[in-house]
Amino acid sequence: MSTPPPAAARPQPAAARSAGSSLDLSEPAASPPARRSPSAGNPLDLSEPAATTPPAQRSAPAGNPLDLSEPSPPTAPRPARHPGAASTSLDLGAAPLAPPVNTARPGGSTSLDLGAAPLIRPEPAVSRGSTSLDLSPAAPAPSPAAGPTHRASQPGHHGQPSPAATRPTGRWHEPRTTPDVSTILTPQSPTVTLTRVQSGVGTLTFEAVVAPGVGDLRLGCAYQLVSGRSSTVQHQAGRRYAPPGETRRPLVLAARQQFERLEFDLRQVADLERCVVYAFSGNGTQLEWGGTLVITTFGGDRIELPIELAPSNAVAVLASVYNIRGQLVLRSEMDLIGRTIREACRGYGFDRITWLDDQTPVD
Amino acid sequence: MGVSLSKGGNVSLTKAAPNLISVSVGLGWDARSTSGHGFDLDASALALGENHKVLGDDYFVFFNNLKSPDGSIEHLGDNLTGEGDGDDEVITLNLVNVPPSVLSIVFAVSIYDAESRQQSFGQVRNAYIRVVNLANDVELARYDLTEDASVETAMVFGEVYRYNQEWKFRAIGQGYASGLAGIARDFGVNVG
Repeated sequence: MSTPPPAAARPQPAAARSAGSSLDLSEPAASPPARRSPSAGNPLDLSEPAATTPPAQRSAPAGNPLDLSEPSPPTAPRPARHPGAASTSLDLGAAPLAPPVNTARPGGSTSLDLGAAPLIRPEPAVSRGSTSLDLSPAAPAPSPAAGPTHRASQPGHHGQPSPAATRPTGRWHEPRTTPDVSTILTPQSPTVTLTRVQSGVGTLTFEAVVAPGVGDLRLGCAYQLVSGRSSTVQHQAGRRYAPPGETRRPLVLAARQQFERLEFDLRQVADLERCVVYAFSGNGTQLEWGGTLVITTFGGDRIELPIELAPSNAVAVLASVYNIRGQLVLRSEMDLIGRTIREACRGYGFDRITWLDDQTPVD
Repeated sequence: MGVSLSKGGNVSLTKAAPNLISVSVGLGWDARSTSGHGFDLDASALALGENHKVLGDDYFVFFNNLKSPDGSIEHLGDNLTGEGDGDDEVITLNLVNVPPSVLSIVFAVSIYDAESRQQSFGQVRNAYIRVVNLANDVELARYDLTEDASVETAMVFGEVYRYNQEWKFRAIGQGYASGLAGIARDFGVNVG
């Protein structure tokens, strides 16, 4: 599959490098992979250091698959969370290495700041209001796994120890399903990787098991194929087949039985690069989010993603699926990301989809 | 032309080709659809140890796992239609590099989505498996499946196996009504 695994570093764009003053000695040779929105990269800002972010703004969910403090597993890249930032022409669909970060250093460092930002710091940095001559190491460079700031406000993200503090000493084991026991994906343990057999035999089913009190919860799926083709399926809109018009042998089928469901034909898994499963209100009224997204493998293993979100009529991305060398990595997202399907898709980097309106792709 | 086997027959590959290093196992078929759906048959290989079970799930070599962990068994890719002459799918074996714990490698063919398409090996003709010496492209053994199948949706065509210090090939022709997943389960693959 061509989805690139998370990389430890990406060279900064030339424009970003040129933004640094020639007097700025703080920029380390290996700049961390900071992704900035165009407006954030003020070329005249001489105080801009190599991307540094106070730890409080970088709290990533525990068990983030991009956490470089762990041996790097073949996990899904983290997509952009901010629709505006994700929809630039430079976004190639692959998830960015790091979300937008606040590049302003606490304490107001200047271009004369000689404190090189180390890539790894043994203990959490504490902002002490560094001066322009502060020779002490600055805050640690952001991990590519750094999650968006709003993520930190979600339940379960408070008080998480720093990645360095939780560095595992033993060998890292890829999270797998367990026969006869449901695998529950939570913010603390958000991913599971299906084996190549689980990823290649039979059908993989996603079903939104919700009570009537939740409201008119509907499912959809935005996908990107290896061919580059990208669109959505959504039963409520009558868009049932992926690729569009492939009624005999769809890769993804949107259906509804007791609940809304999506069925993936794993015989064609090699054609799938990535997708997200989203949910929204079918009648436009606010959803009292609840219930569970249940994923079932052909062999009967179950993966359950509790849907725990604040009441809203926004579109929520519930899960993402990345095909990493023939193994599907499933991740619980639970992310109220946009007001429309279009915003939600763009928020996750599906910028190869063109739109008729806020709900309907042009196929 | 190599030895043509009947069901249950076997031949020593090592005796037929001393210093044999690697072989290709070609599988072929012609399918006739009666439901309007196209036929898609998939070949796979399972490397078995003692108890006739796979060494691990990674030793189930199929369209989503094209190589065994040691690289000794490699699936050369999928032919979605089965059209054209020659082998429809090919799996290569580097016999020198096959781990000693692998006692046999079983070759199976399954019909994709057979149940919903109402397809079976009853609609498959001219199925065969053949073993070719990769060093000189000489066919060492061949088995034409002449048995009339009916409801089977998957079939083990044959196996390459160790016998003392030799590698041998056996014609099997054993049908399964439970598709690729059924074969995988029977040989100890965790379908999950």
